[in-house]
Amino acid sequence: MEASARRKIAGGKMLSVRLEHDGAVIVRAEVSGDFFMHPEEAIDIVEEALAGLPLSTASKDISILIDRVLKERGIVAIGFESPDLAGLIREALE
Amino acid sequence: MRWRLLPFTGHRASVNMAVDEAVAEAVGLGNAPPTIRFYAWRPSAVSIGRFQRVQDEVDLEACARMGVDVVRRRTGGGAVYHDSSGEITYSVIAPEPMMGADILASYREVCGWVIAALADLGIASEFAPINDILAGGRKISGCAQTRRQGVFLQHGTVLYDVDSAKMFSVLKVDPVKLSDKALSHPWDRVTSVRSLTGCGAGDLLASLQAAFCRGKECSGSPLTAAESARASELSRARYEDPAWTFSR
Repeated sequence: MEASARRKIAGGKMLSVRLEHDGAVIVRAEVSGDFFMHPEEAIDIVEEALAGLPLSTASKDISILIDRVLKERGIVAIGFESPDLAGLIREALE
Repeated sequence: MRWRLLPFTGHRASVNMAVDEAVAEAVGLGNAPPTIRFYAWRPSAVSIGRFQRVQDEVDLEACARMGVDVVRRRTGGGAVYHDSSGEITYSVIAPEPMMGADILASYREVCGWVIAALADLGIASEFAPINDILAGGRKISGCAQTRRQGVFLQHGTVLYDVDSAKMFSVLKVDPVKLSDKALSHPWDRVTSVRSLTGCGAGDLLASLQAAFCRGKECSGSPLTAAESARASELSRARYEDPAWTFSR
């Protein structure tokens, strides 16, 4: 099953998520938009971190996960913050 | 440190992006000095940001019909229509320590060079974070930055003469994106050097070259043979490859 959402982040950039899920967990996530990320290849790490996430995960916990991945891997995202992406994932799933 | 100013050139989209990458590699290896480059896109092209979906941003049928190239940049940011005679693109490629670690501050610094060039032509403009320059509240320049392997690269475009009809027939404008903008029509959001001053494209180029080199030791010299060869290779291997263009 697929789910998607798209939002212009206030004061930031366009952010889209496209999710594939099996009814229980996210199987594949694609994050797109006109944001910036350094290094650019790190988008794969962020997307991979979202795979396996239970669909019931609260926005706050998704945000903590994204934040941890960004910090641990030294990834800088410009144009959105972790709660923005987490909120958009929740929006797509609901 | 002495900067290199490359001669103004016009290339197809894949070559333009490959030259930026080849120069960045050479700068990273210490084989090239920090470099300033101005260039045109021939034929006209759409470049999309590293994280954008082609189908969301570009009317591919319109591009094919009008002979407009499509290329995915290595940098983030948004889709840009590069008219072959309607804009000048710049690149600034330098060792990262020269530009500082603060990303927003370095956007502001390089955009300041564009703002100075526009001021020399009589256009008052201002930096609009993250990556735009506005004149009279309308976009006249946008840019994107990457930092890889110790190398800073910022490329951006300065609008000289906007063909709004063509621009907005090849770019898809998402109504969601306009949701927090004051102006509802996308063509109301852009302006150009020509419409504000009537000056020629040559004047804009000269003004940009002067402003970017101001306060720097800057000398004109071309790409090295190794950079040209690497650019040809990268153009073929990455920027012309549909797997790269349609990677999302």
